[in-house]
Amino acid sequence: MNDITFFWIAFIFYFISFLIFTLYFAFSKKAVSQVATFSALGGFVFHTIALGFRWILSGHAPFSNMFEYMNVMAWVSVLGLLIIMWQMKRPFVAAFLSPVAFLLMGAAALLPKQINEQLMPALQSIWFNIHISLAVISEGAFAVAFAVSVMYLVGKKMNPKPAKGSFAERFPSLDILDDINYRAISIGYPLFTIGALIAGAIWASKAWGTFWGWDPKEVGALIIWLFYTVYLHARFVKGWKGSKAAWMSIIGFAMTLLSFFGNLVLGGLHAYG
Amino acid sequence: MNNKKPLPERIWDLFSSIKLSIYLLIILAVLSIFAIYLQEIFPPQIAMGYWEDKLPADRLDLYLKLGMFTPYSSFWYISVIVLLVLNITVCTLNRTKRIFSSAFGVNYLDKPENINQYKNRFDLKLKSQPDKVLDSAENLLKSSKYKVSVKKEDNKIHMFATKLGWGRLGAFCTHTGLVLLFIGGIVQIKMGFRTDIWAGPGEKFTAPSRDFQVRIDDFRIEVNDRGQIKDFLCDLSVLENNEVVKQKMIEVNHPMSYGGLTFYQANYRQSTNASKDILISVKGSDIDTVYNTGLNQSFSIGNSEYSFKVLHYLPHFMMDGKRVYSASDRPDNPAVQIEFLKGDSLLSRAWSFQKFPDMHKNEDAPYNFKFISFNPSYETGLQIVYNPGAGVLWAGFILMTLGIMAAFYIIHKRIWLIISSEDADSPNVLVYAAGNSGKTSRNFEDEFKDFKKDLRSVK
Repeated sequence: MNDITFFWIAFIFYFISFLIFTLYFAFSKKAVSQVATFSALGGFVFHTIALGFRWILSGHAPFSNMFEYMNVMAWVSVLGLLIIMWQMKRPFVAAFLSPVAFLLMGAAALLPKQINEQLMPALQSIWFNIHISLAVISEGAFAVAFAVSVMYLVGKKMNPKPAKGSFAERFPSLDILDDINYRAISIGYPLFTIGALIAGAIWASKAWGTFWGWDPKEVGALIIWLFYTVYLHARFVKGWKGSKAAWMSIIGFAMTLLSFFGNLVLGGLHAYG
Repeated sequence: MNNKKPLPERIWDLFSSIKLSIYLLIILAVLSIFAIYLQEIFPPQIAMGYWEDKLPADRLDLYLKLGMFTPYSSFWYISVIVLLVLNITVCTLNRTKRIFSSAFGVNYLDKPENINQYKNRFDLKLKSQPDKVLDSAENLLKSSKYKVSVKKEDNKIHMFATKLGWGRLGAFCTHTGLVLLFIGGIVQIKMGFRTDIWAGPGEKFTAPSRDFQVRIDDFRIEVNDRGQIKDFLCDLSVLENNEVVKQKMIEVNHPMSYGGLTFYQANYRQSTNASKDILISVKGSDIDTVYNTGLNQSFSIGNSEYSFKVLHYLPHFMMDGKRVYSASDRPDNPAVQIEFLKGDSLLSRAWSFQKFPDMHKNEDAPYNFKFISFNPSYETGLQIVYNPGAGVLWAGFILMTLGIMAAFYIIHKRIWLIISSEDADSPNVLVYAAGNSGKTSRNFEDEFKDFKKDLRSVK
């Protein structure tokens, strides 16, 4: 029994939650959505156990390879959506949470899962924990913004006067979704700036003597940062809200994933596998 | 009549616009994607010589001029960055006065109608006296940590309450920080340097552009119980006029600073001077011994006139036709070249392979040599950096970090009140209120609603 067992259990719970929610679209029975929500929560519990177990087994935070990173990012996204679900008191949000969890975990599942008990010398630094934890939380926040933006666009297409008790009636208001989108970016963007970029640069200067090496991953992070910077300035100057903001969040997160997987192909200092 | 502003002013206005920032940011993002692509098709680790062979001269020349091999230092990339920095600078300079007066200034609403400019507003009619209402309002707001200012004018009481105004400096600090990063970067590129040095234990070198020397006292590789590399470290001594002035152990993530330079433990490799403890077994009809040799040390075999000497060591022996070389500095195929002499005449010079001991065995030869083992010696790879821009860069990082935290999480909140008697003999007090927060904040809307509710219960 190792941490991967718990990873698969969590994955199955998320998947079941995802399946049951698709049933919910058809049957709109409250009981159905409750089962799905509990399944998602169960998934989260096992996911937490999986990560904790891995931390203990490897002797370091689960940040040392792409599998671990993606795993933690999925966990942060689920946590973010659970918080929103709890604050809004709408279990319904879990309907969009489980596909996100399932997809991110699925992506993680494709990556090599070996435990690196020995961190290479360059990773043995407090900045390892600072840089990567802040980066993964920020990208989890971007994932939450993505999920909420998809909800927004779906919501926009729905009947503005839905039948009582229907799926559409339980949908959160578009205003609230737009607000959550902005708030998720308000958490993600500062953490990304400070964690991915600034802390990354400081760590690079301590390990490699240079603050910025223009390697593909660094430039990829810069591009993501530039994109969200445009979003924030456009929101401020041109009042970009609603659908425009939703699309920006969706594209931004797609870029985040692209940069992450692009790393597998492009190599450079960050090609840790 | 020409109503257009003079050109310098129009340029200033252009550079003061956030719309320009948005365009420049998008352009920079697109150029960065293009640059990543260029670095994939022209990888930086491939030497120019390779392209000189592959591309026609005029095309190569064009690519060089366009900066295709070094996109991040190309004219097109740098100019966008410069424009962006100018844009940030002008935007900030243009808005500084407004930001500071907004953050720390005191202002009042002139007339009750002014509240209509604000999304958060209310008006109340209370059975009380103006001063009592003022007291209650002040107490309510002060208990929520607002700073309150009051002005009495024309039988009206004007009140201004403000909280966390310094949060408005967040964006100002972030942008200033960015400009500092740019300046620090320029200083580093123009005045700084970075060199690599390889040296083995006991060796010393003169620090670049400096008078002192650095000696490698020892180099160690630490391995965990699974044989994986845990750490590699170096003991360094700094020598001035041949006297040790500083000693420090360096490892990855823990460099040494001296004389304005920083010495980083970057790398290591196996040295080709595997000069210690090369064990060679010599077998013949009369002898079967192991000799502990080093490079270029001659050993006579027993009492005979034969002798041998280890000439070279290669960690990763490869042969390409007649050319012999080491494919890497990893000990993947360790080999030594042994010179075999009878008296003064050369009998053979052959390679012996640690992993393939029976290769080249010559049954007719009086003696056969086997390369058994050796003690690898290592060289440490140090990176020496002079970064005169480091201070400016750190200032930039700190300002950006603090600025961005303030910009997103410290929200400036302001509330204005106009309190007056309805008329001379009325027991009623009219209250007009407006509120504004730095970022449209749901929290503030709720706070404002609560304030109205609390004010209503004033007696």
